[in-house]
Amino acid sequence: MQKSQIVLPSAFIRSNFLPLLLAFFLSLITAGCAYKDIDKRAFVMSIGVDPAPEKKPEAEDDRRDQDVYEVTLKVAIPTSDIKSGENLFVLFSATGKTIAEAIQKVMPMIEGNLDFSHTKIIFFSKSLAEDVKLRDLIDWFIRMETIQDIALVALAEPTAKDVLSLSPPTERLPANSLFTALDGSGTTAPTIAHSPLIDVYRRLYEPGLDPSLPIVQTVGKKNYKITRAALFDKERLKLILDPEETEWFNFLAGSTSNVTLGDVPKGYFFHVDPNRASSRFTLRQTPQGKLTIVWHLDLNGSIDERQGKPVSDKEKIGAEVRRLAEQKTRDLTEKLLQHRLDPLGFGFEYRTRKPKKKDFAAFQKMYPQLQISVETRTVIYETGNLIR
Amino acid sequence: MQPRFIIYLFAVNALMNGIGFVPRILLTGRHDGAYAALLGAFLLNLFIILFIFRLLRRFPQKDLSSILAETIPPLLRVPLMIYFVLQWLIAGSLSVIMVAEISAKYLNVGASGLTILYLFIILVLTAARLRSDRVLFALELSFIMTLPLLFLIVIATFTTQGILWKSIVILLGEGGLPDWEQLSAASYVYIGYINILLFNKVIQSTFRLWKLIIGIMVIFILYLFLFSLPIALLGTEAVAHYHYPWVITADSLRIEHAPIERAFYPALIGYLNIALLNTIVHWHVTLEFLKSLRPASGQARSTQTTGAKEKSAQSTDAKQKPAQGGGMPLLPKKENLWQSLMMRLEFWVLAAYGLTLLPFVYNRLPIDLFYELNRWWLRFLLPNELLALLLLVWSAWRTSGSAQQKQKRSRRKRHTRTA
Repeated sequence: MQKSQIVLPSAFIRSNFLPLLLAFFLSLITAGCAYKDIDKRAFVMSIGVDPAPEKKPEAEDDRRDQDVYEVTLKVAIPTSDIKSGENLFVLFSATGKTIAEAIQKVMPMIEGNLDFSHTKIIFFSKSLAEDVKLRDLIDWFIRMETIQDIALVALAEPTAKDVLSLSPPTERLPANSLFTALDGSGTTAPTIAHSPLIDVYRRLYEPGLDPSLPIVQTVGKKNYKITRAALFDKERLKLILDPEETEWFNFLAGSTSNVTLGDVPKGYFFHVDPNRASSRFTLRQTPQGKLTIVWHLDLNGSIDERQGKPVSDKEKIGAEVRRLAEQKTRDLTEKLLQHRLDPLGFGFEYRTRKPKKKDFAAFQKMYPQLQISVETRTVIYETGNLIR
Repeated sequence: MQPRFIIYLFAVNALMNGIGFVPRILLTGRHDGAYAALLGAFLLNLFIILFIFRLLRRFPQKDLSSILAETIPPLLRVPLMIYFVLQWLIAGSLSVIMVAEISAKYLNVGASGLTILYLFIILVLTAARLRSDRVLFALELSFIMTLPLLFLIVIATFTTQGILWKSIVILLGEGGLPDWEQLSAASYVYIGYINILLFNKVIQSTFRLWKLIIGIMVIFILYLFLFSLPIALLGTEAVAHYHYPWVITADSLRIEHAPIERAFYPALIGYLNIALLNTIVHWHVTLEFLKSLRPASGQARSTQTTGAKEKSAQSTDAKQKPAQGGGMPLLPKKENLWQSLMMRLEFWVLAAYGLTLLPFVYNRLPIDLFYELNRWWLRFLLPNELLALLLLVWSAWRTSGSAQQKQKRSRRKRHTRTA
């Protein structure tokens, strides 16, 4: 009995115990490098990039040293319990010739180590997007391993700093309000499109598919609205859609089906059902050799409200809705063609038919002259609680 | 052991593609025939694999080196085995470096890759010196526990918006013929079976070959999906901008209603685990093949000491369990240091390589160099496969007379066992 008691531990030591012990001690070392305690980190919830305020150059040579970007970081102050309205945060700003340089300048301003793993929204101010190439703006963000690729990108108006300093009364966590609005998990407002970082980057390089970003505007000191979309070519901001166009644009892009069509003077308000409306397009070669974009719209909706005249003739209303939808689609598509912008992916669709680069170059040449036709199917399948 | 363990040998390579350079090599050639390469590699490997498994049935319970020992003179056998050992060593080294690099880059941001590499190498060395059958058991357990993590990716593709499957139509429409490098890179997915050249000594080859065909087809379809997803998600152009397209793909997937919104971390941990298993298997094969290179006298001595114990303890089991393979204690009591060192010389050589040379190289050289190395290693992949096949054919031809009789006998035995 005594012997076996001695044998057991020694056999254990003699087997694989030693390397495991070594591995355990080595793993203690790593704790020092990577795992900074959570209270020694500063969680950056969102980042805003503005043009740097212009300094007056004293000499010609000074112009070279002028900073380009002003980067603002929204750093969360962790609280023990989550309460509405207690969204504590601090803003840190610094300027630099590159975004990385500006962020490097923020680091000594705060005691914790900057942690970008919770960065969920990236704002560029509108004026910056007009001047600087989007490819340059986005480079640092896509290059950083720690920033999520599903972080959302948006334009800010008037400046990114203003949008970052907003703190809506309904907000529980810093920057959560805007994130919930922009990623579509909260509101289903039709004017809000979702543009994850990875999608923006893809569109910057994909032939026949251009990026588009939502614009966040401040309202007062506490609130915001997201009603417009900014369309880019492969380099810069080219076109800003007004709210009505944005709504329809999002419907055509397939990112929402929650659109409303209506004419209050004519007495109805047609609401397209989010689950049953769809839009898609095909490309068709006419016998004359002209390429046509054919929109297939399925508008299955309900009448949400009427003012004045009772809804008597559903057929008539259906025809009116169809006319309105076709008008909107045609106008918007024409606008895109004229500006040579392709956020809906006409060129991408063309490439699926003719993948050769030569063909695509020819397509780009004839892009503004493309024909448009719209095929709409409308079903008014309900009128709410009321029969009339 | 049951033939189901072959599945894990296959899976360890097929699923580790995300970690490593294979997607990058294939995706750089996406405009000229990457899909043709996938198809070509599938057909080519289907034939090679079927052929090799067919031939291995003639050598039950034997690994490559003991097969060659009977049919090829030692003067030729030793350099050949050293060549194979080097190939396996490089394969394992590349994957453990990838694991360290990616986990330092994406998982433990800010940690030094060197420390992580040391940790992983110690783990791999510890596991690689186990007995062959235990390596397989560990492989099975670890793999089954990792599998749910890997399937997160598949689930996440259904919930992520913005996946453009039409991008694949574009690339398919471009056509083009693959070059050698792409064909080899696409073959890497199937190459896991090659470890059977060692594990044949513990795995019974009593299974129908059509099961193998189905398995390979499953891998092919799975890999078509795994290859297409980055293109559909990252774009036909931007996908070639990344070092590790698959890691980025995992990062851009989003599960909205899940405990963790990002599918990235669990999936990445799963893939890293598979890559680590890959290294363990490769280095185990390296170690075992190195051991088989020992001159006969040394081998006899080492088997004497271990064999004697086993015989005294469990004489009935000793026949079924293969005598080769580690399982030996690191620091035995009864011998002096020199003897024990010499007994485990192969392990200490591998350990010295893994703990000094590899971290040194990893620390000094840019990761692009490993990309080049990986490309070169891949270029030798198909020739190596064919070489192994040729050697087996040669051995089968040399031993055809006697082996057939043996085979008949062993088959009869198996039938009686199952019945």
